[in-house]
This record gives sequence, C-alpha cells and structure tokens, in this order.
Amino acid sequence: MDKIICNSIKEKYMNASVKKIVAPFLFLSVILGISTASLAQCNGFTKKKCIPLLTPFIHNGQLNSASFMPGENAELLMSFYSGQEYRLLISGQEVLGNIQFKVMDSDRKLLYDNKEHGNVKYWDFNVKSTQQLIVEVIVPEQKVDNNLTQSGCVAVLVGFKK
Amino acid sequence: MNNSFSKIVLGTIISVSSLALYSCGGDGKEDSGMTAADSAASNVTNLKAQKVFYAIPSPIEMSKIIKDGGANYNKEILNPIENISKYSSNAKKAFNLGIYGADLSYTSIFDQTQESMFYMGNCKKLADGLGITGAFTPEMISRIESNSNNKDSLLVIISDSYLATDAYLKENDRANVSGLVIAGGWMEGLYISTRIAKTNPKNEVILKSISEQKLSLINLIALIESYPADDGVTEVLNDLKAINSIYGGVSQTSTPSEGETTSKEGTPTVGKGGEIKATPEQIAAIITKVDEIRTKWIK
Repeated sequence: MDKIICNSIKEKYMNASVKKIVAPFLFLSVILGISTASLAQCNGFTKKKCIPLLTPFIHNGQLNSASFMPGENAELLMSFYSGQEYRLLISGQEVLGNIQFKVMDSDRKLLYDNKEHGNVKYWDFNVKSTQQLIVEVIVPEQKVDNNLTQSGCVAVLVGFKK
Repeated sequence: MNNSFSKIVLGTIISVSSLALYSCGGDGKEDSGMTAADSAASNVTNLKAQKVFYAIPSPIEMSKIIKDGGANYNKEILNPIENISKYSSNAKKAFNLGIYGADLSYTSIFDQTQESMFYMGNCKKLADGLGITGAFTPEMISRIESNSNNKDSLLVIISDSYLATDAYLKENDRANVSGLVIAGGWMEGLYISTRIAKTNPKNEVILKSISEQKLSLINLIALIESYPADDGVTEVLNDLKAINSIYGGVSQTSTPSEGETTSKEGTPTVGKGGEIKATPEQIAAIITKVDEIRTKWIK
C-alpha cells in the first residue's frame, strides 16, 4: 500500500516537473508563433498595399515594417545619393489613423513634415549632396473607451527613380 | 500546477484559434488592423522589432550610379558563375547570394541579358540552398525571360526578388542571414566600383561614389550589429569594421540645410551641402582591403 502511495506521489511529482519544464517552452513557442505570423501579416500588408504606391520608383529590396501600438515612434536611417530622385513612403493600417512622418538632416533639422502636407503617405525628393537623413515615424495616440488598444502594421519604404 | 497548466493550454488554444480565424479573414480584413491575439503578441513583436531601421541602398542603385558614371561593362570583374560549387556553409551561401545578386543588378543595368540569366540561376540555386522559398521562383525566371528586352521590368523583377528574400528570412527568424545577403550585395557594389577606379583612376564619379560609401557602411555595420551574433555575422562585422577603419579617415564637409530648390518637375532638393572625399591613398587602401575581403568570401 505504502509502495502504491509512494508511486502515486512520485508520478504526480514527475508530472508536475515535466509540466514545469514543458509549460514555458509551450508558452514561448506560441508567442513566437503568433509574433512570426503577425510579422508575416505585416509583410503581406506591405507587399500588397504599400509597394504598389512606390511605382514608378524601384524599392531598395529591404522590408522595413513592424507592428506598432498607438503612440509608438520609430526612426529610419539611410544615406541618400546626390543626383538620384527618391520616394519615401510611410504607410500604416487604417486602425492606427494618420501616420505622421518627419524627415530631418543629420543635425535633426526638419526638412519635411507630412502633417503640413495633408498627411500624405509619400514624399519625392532629391538631396543637395550625398548624406544621411533621419526619418521619424509617429503613430498617433488613440483615445479608447476601454483599455484595449489595437496594434497595426507600419511600413517604411524607400524607392529610387529608374 | 494542474490548474495553471490548464490555463496555459487553454490560452494556447484560444490564441491559436484567434490567429487561425484572423488568418482566414482574407484580403478584406488585412487592412483593418489586428485582432486581440495579434495585439497580445504585438508587445513581443515590438520588443523584437528594431525601433530604429537601418536601410542600405540597393545594389541596383549602386549599379545605376556606376553606369551613370560612364563606366563600361566588364564581365571579368564579376564573381565567376562556376564559383557557386565552392559555397557549402550557410554564411558563404548567404554572402554570395548578395554578391551574385549585385552582379545580376550590374549585368541587367548594362543590358547583358544572357549573363543576367546565368546570375539569376545562381541566385536561385543559393536561395534554394538556404531554404528560401518564394524569392527566385520558376515564375520569376519566366517573367525575366519574357521581359528580357525590357530593362525597367527586369529591374523591378530583380528588386521584387530581393524583397521576397528579405521578407522570407525576417518572417522565419533568420534576419541575420538577411544581413549577410545585404552585406554581400553592398560589398560587391563597392568591389565593382573599386575595380573600375583601378583601371580608370580619373573617373571622378566613381571615386566620389566610393568615398560616399562611408555613410552606407556606418548604417550597414549598425544593421548587422542589431542581429544576433553567429559565426557568419561576427566574421562579416569584422570585415566591415576593417574597411570602416580606412573610411574613418575620409574627410566629410557639410554646409547647413537651407535654401531648398525645386526642379521644373516640382521635386524639391533638400538637405545639407558639402562633400565626402577620400584621398588617393585612402582610395588605394580601400581598393586593397575590399579586394582582400571579397577574395576570401568568393573562394
């Protein structure tokens, strides 16, 4: 009898240990799975809804898109060559509202703010000399009745003229 | 424990179900934001996502600058097609996918259709070897064949291939491999420029283009540093930093951003004035170092 109780306790202890080990891995794989699927959805949005807006410019082949919460910001750093014409495109899913973007030189002097141009999604420009520009992307804050805020995808794309 | 484990399993089922339901939403739902499951996951995504994006000019853009600089096509400077059999490690496959991709851009910009097909074939083989699907598909090869006389379409197709490669690797948690591809492409663009500079030391456009890589290199190093380190990433970082140690001495002058001008088409010209100019000694040092590093990777 004692042996049976002992085995039962042992089994219970073993199960608990296995669960302790398995649970974090299971949780992690689910979270990673969801985040990968979320990134894939984000990339899907970028390819279907944003890349076509770059035409007739050719994109640089790099997919800079991520999931954002309202109120979050990001920056893109890239060097632009003199003598080339560029299109900078920043587009977000509707749920995020109007995405604001500012273009600054390397001293953070403001060169362009889409808020002053009707929240347009892209801007075409040349640079005086080859230089690094900073693009600041601002996802607007949202007033919500409950604590649930929705995230959405934002794509930051650069194209150059053929 | 049983209770909390059940909660985790239940949470798992709910999360996966929500995701599956969302995934079945089709195109109509794609633009309408994300579900609760995605919102829950977004914190993780945001932790993983770089809040600073570093973008590198495309090899196609580099090739265009080279052609605009008046350089002639020279097949001899490209990585030979037959070298592909030498690449067995993933790092070499990825880096040389970038190199062959840049060679493909160069041949396409110079309207070398037959060569472009060879380089596209090599890109496909390396992409397949790295398990990248959807980037160099048979459909894409067919599109290239049917657009072989239309350079603009060809460049768009190549650009789409780069994008599909980058997307696939990022979606599959292999952004470090994507970094190696981008680094290989950048290195080959610079290598082609340095070869042209070696034979045409007075081509100011090419010399300027080499000098100006100083800025892209800084971004490229920052991009690669943002990825988890593995042997390939570490090796490439060391190589890039070795080149950067030469570029560190290259002078850069600038005047403040003011006096925006507008072209007759209405496109503004903005930003600082100034220039980045390497001395002949620095150009010579860059030529030697890039040759040494590129030779190591392609052999």
